[in-house]
Amino acid sequence: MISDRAISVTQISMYIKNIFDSEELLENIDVFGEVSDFNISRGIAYFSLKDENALLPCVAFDGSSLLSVKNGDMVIATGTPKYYVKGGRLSFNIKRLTPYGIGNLFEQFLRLKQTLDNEGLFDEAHKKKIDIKKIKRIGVVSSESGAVIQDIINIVSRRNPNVDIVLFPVKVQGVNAELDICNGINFFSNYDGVDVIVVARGGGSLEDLQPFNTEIVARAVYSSNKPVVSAVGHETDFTIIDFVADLRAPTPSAAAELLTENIMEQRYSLDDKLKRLVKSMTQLIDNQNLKLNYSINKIAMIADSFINEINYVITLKQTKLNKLNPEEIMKLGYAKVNRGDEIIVSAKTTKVGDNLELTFIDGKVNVVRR
Amino acid sequence: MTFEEGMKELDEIIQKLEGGKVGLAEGTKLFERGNKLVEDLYNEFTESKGKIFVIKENIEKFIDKK
Repeated sequence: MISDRAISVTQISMYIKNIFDSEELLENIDVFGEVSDFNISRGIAYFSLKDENALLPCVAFDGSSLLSVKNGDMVIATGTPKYYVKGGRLSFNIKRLTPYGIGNLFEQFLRLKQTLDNEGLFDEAHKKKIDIKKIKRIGVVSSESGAVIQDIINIVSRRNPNVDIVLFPVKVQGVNAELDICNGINFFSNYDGVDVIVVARGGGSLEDLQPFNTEIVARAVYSSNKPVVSAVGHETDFTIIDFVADLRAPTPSAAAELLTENIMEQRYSLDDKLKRLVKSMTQLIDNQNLKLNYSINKIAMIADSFINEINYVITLKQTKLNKLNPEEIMKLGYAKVNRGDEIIVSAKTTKVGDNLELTFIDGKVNVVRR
Repeated sequence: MTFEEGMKELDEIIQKLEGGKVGLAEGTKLFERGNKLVEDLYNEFTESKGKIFVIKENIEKFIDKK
């Protein structure tokens, strides 16, 4: 049901727009602030003006005149706030930008950097060595949501699936984010459960990265009992924490890579060792076979000569035996003499009139002794 | 035994076998030990032991990877 009092979005938007349009005090005013999120698209410059507590979206339709403007610049912007009905957005329409010295945040950054450097917080000698072979658990101080922690988990799991990750969830930008970050570092510093601490955040403007440029975070890192790796923003972003940290990783993903051994390389090495193990064992067996074959051949040779010798002796004996065969003797013209079943070997055992049987090689003849 | 210790022992076994100075009996023993090591070491890759925790109220709590 539409209440009688309800008005349309267009109506309320037009009403708001008219309030701004009719407010003469807002016309061509000068606003002092710091440029951030500056970008130019199709000749139109979009950016924000900021100070510590507020942000004003700005647009300059003549962007070509603002090419030299950078994030962090302090400027005086002259223009008129307009309410855009279509996007439901208020935007400060800028006619002119006047530089107002170097940006406040950047100035603060340089000052703090100098102070801490003078104090020795960046000294190489104080930095702890990180032995990635000994890292079993990584403590991460970062936002619980977003791509950063997920990237770290993915990369660590892929490179070395045996490493644990312990996340201390913190705000990584906005009011009091630096206190959250300090809590995380201090917690892990005294926590036996992790071997190294990574303080991570994705890319952002100088304002977004501000918590990592605070003195309190720098000191927490410096006094940590565990090595601290800074992994804030993109490769080109430098924050105070990068100078104090024991190791600066260009990005959160790079930190995950720097802190984990790629055990896939070890896997290949193990594959190689397995091949060598099998090959060396095969070689050993082959060598043994070679020795065995040699022994078998030797035995066979000895056996052969033994058998030959026996054969020779047998042949010799057979020849001798053959010579004693009665048939062989009969071939020479001898005959066997029988009287009935009795073999006659002496003339003296015969009498005249005996019937004798003579056996020749080719037959028998009966004779009578005279 | 850590992974590194396992790899070191495996290396020593392979060197002995490759040296060709061991007999068949000792070689077989070395090979069996090497084979067991390889098996254990491969398990290091297949069993993903890493876990994800989150600190809530200063206490570590296990969470799923996703």
